[in-house]
Amino acid sequence: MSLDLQAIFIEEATYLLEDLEEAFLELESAPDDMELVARIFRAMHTIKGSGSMCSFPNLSAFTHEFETAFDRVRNGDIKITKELIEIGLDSHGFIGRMVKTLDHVNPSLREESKNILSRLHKYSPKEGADNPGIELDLSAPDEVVSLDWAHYRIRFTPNPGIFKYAIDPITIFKSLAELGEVCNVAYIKDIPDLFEINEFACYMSWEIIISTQDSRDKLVELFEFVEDDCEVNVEMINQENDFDDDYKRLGDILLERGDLTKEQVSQLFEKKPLVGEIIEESGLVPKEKIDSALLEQELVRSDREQKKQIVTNDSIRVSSARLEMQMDLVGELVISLASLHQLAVDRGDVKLNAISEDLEHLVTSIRDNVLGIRMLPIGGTFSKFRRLVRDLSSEQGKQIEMVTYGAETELDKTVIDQLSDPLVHLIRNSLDHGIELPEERAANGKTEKGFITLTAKHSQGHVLIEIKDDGKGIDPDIIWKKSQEKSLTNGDERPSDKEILQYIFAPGFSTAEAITNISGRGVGMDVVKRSIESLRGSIILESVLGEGTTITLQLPLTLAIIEGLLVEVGNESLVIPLAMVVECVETKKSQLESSRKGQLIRVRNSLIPCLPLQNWLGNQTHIPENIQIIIVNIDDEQYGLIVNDVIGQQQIVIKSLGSIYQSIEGVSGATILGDGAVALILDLPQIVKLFQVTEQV
Amino acid sequence: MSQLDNACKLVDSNGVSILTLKGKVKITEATCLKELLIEAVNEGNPIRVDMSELEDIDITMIQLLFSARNKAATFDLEFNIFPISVQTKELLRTSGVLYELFNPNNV
Amino acid sequence: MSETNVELIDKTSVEESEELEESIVQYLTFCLQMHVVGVRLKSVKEVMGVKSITTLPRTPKFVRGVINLRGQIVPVIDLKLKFGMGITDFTVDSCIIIVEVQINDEAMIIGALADSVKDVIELQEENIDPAPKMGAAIDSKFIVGMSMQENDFFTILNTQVLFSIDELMEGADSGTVSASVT
Repeated sequence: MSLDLQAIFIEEATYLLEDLEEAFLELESAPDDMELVARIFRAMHTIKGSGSMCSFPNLSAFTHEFETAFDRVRNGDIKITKELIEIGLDSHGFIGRMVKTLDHVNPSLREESKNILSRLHKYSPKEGADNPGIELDLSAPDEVVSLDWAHYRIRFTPNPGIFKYAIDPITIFKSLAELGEVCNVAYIKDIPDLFEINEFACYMSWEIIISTQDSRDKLVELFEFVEDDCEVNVEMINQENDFDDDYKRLGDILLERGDLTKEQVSQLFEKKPLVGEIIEESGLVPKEKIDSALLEQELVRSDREQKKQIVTNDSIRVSSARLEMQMDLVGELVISLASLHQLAVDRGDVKLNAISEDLEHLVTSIRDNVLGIRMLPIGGTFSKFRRLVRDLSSEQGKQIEMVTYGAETELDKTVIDQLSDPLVHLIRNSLDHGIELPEERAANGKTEKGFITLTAKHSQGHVLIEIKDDGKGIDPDIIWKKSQEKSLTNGDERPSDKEILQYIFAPGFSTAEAITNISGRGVGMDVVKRSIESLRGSIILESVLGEGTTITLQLPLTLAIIEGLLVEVGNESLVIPLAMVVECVETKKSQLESSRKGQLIRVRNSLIPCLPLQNWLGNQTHIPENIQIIIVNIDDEQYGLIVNDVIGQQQIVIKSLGSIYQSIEGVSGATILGDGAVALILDLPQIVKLFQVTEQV
Repeated sequence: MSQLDNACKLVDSNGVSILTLKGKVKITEATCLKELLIEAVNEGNPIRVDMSELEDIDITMIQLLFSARNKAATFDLEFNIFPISVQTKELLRTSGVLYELFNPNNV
Repeated sequence: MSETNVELIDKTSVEESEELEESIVQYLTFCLQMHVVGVRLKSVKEVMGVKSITTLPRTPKFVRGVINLRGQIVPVIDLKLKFGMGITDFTVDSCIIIVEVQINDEAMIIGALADSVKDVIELQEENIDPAPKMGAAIDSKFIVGMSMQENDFFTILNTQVLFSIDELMEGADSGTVSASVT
């Protein structure tokens, strides 16, 4: 299991546990509040679900039992009692401890879970008192589930005659290295002079620190053959999971190991603070011993830090609502600044202008900073997928490895949140339809194992996410046939393969044959496309038959602020996302070329269909003779938007239109201009659809 | 004893005693190695141990190496180990002596 | 126990139950042409003068557009258009009444155009008469009741129905847009 996934779960669980505790405490004073019961149920349910996904099976099993009981409360079958709340609070504590041990059930936790569940089962009479209780997987955790690394210190002083038994300590060290991470320090002080040495005697001794998931017994076992004539001492260090910052100081370690006496240590400590140096200088302990003690100290320390990192990730939790508010305020600031700037320009006031420019720098930094807070690495999402791929591929008898690149690529939290579902869908598609069964792959001269590569990277103010598989690819002939069957095509003329592939994104394309229990659920690629577009992103599909499919998503870095081109249409100001603008062309209405599909503009050698935004705005908005045409690129096609005038390029703070009108076609949001007026932000892919001039491919 | 000769060989090259260790140098070669080391130290020239073709060692060899290095230091002789094969380096690390062996301050 | 019960009841009913005790409700009345209508004062956030309204394409005709209310984008509804009384022309008395309504458990801010604001009136619950089944200028589904006290006669609007998603989207343009340049 990846540490990332674990960290995400721990963070989520910590949050849910807080909520759970609060809810239980509130329930105590309002036992009939079904809202609270529902809240508890939800929290438990989420812990269960995430727990099972993030390899906390024991925890998941426990919460399942709890959920069952609370479901009965929720349904009104049983009433909340003092005891039930008591059990709830105990469960809360238990879950917290399970999270801390990373799902490792130690004997005390086992007792605790038995205790809680036996009390809980009184409330689930269906299962009866004879229910053995926990179906926790208690047999295996040491091998399978336990992720706790323990550190052991092994002091090994062989009998000088050990070589006569044909025992070489190196063999033992090699076996140790197979059990975990080993740091070994040899004591060589006793090796005699070359002229006096007995080459068949062993003069060395060792101090080994090993970090392992295996038990102490397993370590001791390795020394079985030498045990009788040698001094072997295996000791666990850092036995308790205490998170104290201070691990035993070096002196204490040496003391604990008997390298120094208490008197010696306290004497030394009176001298100087740098213990390592003092002890070394004093010559009381050979240098290697200090080295090994230092090593031990470092190991424990790094382990603690790692643990801490998992738990806290060195971050504070801020509610996204507060972050939203911060963003709103910055948005207001940008708008106010625009007004100030407008005023300075209108008045021709040089001083005021200078101030407004200074302010602009400041506001830009604040804005970037706040946007930065909202940025999260996409890696968290990636690791969830790795798990998905692993589980689903084995279910289908396929061998698939998922490779990810650019997990550190940062994206706005909102984008990441909304990206998860489309990505799951795309990956499932690759898994289900893309990668072939091992036999099929082998027959086609491919490796039995298929690869799904997930790459994220920055590119020109956008984030590109690529989902690539080396599967069988998509056959354009099949797509063409299906598209014709579903009457998605215009006429019988067969377009290019590349164009045919785009039919996959057409609404209603998803075919029954194509749907399995995995990809299925009736969600087609059109939905994926739409959700990507709602994030102001785009999706490109490329496929080579027999070699694989690559899907590239282009996404904006943030949803909160965009660079926009402000234009005038009729009496209204509209914002066109600058990322889609190719160029602006000044022309006259009479110079447009007419065609069956409407007006076209000739730009260099190509004819581009024109979309008069005035018609979309309605009210019979008049189109003047002198017009500007904004050439935009949408899904690899160019269109010319007819506008009255271009006002200029501007940073646009995106505001929602509110839940009633946010879904109106052609508008993705609104912004507030310097003069306080509202300007709508165009959703270009939708605008194109509305005009229905799309060159039907 | 051709195998033995092959495993440890001492030659003089431009005033440097080069001790070449090859293949396996373990307890069976210990006596030979010890004698060669004493010979090298007595020669009074700088000593270089070539372990580039050394494949396997045991603790006896490591002990002799340390002993010789210490002896060379008392005679004020240069004692270098190079080149060294990857396997040998790994074995020295596993045995917890790599740092000691290559840290000049410890002599 | 009683505390719990109160929490379970949704917000509007709480208000109602509180008001039942007092039995007196305040209404803000305003004019739509010669019709006087009223909404609960509690739901009114503020009354503001008409400012520039940005057209919202492909919404029903009675949606005049959106305004900027201190950074929040608020839709403005022309009640007269909604009730079929013709478009509201702006005069010095014209105003936008900002009301808060619950739509899908979410508090939404909506602006309603009025020709002028009239009064705040206190009413006893029992003095509200049921809406006439027919003959009224306003569709009865938008009416909670009528108040006829001496000279003060007005229609109490049902904002929950009037400002529901269905009503607010009723008659929205859904056709394609012509690409012809005329």
